[in-house]
Amino acid sequence: MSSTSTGALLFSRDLIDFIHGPVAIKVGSCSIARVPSVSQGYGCRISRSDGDVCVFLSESRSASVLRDLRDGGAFSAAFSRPATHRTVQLKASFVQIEPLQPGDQALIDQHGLRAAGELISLGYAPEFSQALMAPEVKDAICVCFRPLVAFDQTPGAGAGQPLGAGL
Amino acid sequence: MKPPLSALRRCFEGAVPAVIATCDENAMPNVAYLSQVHYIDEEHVALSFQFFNTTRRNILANPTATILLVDPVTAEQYKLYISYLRTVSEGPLFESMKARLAGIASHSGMSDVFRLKGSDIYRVQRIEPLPGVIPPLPALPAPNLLPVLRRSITRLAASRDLSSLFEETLASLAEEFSMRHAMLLMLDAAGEKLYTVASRGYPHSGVGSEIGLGEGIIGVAAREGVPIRIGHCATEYLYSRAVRESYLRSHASTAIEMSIPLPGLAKSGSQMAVPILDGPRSIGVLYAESPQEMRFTWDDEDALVALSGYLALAITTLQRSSDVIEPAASSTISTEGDGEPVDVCFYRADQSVFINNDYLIKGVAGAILWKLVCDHSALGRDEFTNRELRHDASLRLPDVVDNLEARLILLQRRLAERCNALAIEKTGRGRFRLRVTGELHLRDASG
Repeated sequence: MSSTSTGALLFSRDLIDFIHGPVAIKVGSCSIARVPSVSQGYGCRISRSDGDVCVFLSESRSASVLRDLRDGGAFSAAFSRPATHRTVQLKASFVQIEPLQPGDQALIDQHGLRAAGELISLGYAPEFSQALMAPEVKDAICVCFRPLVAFDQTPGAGAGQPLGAGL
Repeated sequence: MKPPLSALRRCFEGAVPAVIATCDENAMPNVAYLSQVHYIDEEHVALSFQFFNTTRRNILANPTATILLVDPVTAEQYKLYISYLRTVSEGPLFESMKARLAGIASHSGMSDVFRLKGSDIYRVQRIEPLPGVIPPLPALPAPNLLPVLRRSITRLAASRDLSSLFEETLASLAEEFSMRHAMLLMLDAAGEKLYTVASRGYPHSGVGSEIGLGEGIIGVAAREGVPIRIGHCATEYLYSRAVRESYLRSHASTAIEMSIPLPGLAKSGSQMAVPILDGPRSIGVLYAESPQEMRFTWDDEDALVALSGYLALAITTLQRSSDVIEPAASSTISTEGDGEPVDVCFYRADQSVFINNDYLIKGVAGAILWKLVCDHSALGRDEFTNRELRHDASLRLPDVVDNLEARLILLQRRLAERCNALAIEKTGRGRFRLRVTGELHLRDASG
């Protein structure tokens, strides 16, 4: 991972593949009263050219997170692969909330398929895996942000370390 | 309608890791996975504190957090809004979480990474169910354990002596709870070791095998007086290993040839150790295990805690009544048969008894047997009472009411398993007979 002259992070191919892979996505926010909130993401889209990341959320299941973001709150998104515990967290001070773009629904479906498949391969029941990772999301929207920091959160000695150049 | 916290306990089993969100003094959020969320009561949970990480720093700066829980059956999600109260790093809650974390770590290949530094206690401010999956996943109703518990207690209540109480307890676990591998251990009067008085579902009974207080989940459950239930078994908590290491540490007094192998599953998937409490004091442990992972639920734990509460009352009542002497049921004497000579050797240092050079028993039970065979040889006696044993200074029984009856059961069972020439038979409340069917040759090795 490296950064542009504007300070935005640029992603390596490996990191983009990881984030687009069979990961669980959890997002966090903070209210004006400094009460944190958390919800689940259902896929994401990354633009390597400008370092923008868009995470897909359900409007109804992420109501408090989206309220905090609309109030101008900061945002974090953790991507974790269940099979390896590899976890990366991206953070941004500001986000833009946008409707889905053409092709985003296909990305949501693809992510759900991969992530549910990962859980099934780990022994979780297929119906459960499908319901958790690939439910029908009729009210999906995009939370787009340009991450300013990225952390390795894989459990172990390196947990919490900022991702360095070229990662 | 908001569910009570206890209705979410399935989410705390660890099948799907929970996630915590915190934020720092600049309102920057952080999201992290949790190894363990522990249900304390309707208003409190405890989280495992393993690393001094961003979550920890944030909580100390801003003691408000939100947890995302997933129901492992229905995939429904819940948010818990919580506020940090304090951290404990010793005691029952900590030890229970430590044992469980070791299991989780072992299961996920993180044994070198996960070490519990503390149990962070939080107050639950609010529970928020998230809109569910459509269509919702069906959840089979959990088995209703109340009738199971009622039937089991009825069975225990019918027991007229400790021996049948122990048997009925394990039979109830197997037949009512479908917990087919179980054992019952009692704490010795010195409060240092637990010894197995009954087991069920193992190739060898292991009656008489011992485990130190604080060793394995059985030893920790007894020491802390807290139930411990783990769905993935950690190597360091396997009591067989704990015992072996204990032997290696202090092998001088416990030569390996004198050890009675512990019963236990070679590959245990789930374990549950419930202390048997007489007031605040552990007097024993009820232990169940299964080859299946995540076999035991919170409801199972609740039921066994309730059952062990009844068991504790029954044990103390029957122990007290065991000193009451009833007339002998029969006066028939059957001793000194035509059996083979039997060499009985007693080592006074650790009160161990060897029969024909094979180790039988040691400690209080060994001293009791030595007294019985000496009295039998010198005085021709074969009828004895619990009361006389309790008052016999040579046995060095503690002044407090101890589990003499349990020691006699242990001795009775070891003889039944290991020695054809000697047997102990109950002849009435508080009295028993030593049946001898061989010619005894007694040797006091220390003399």
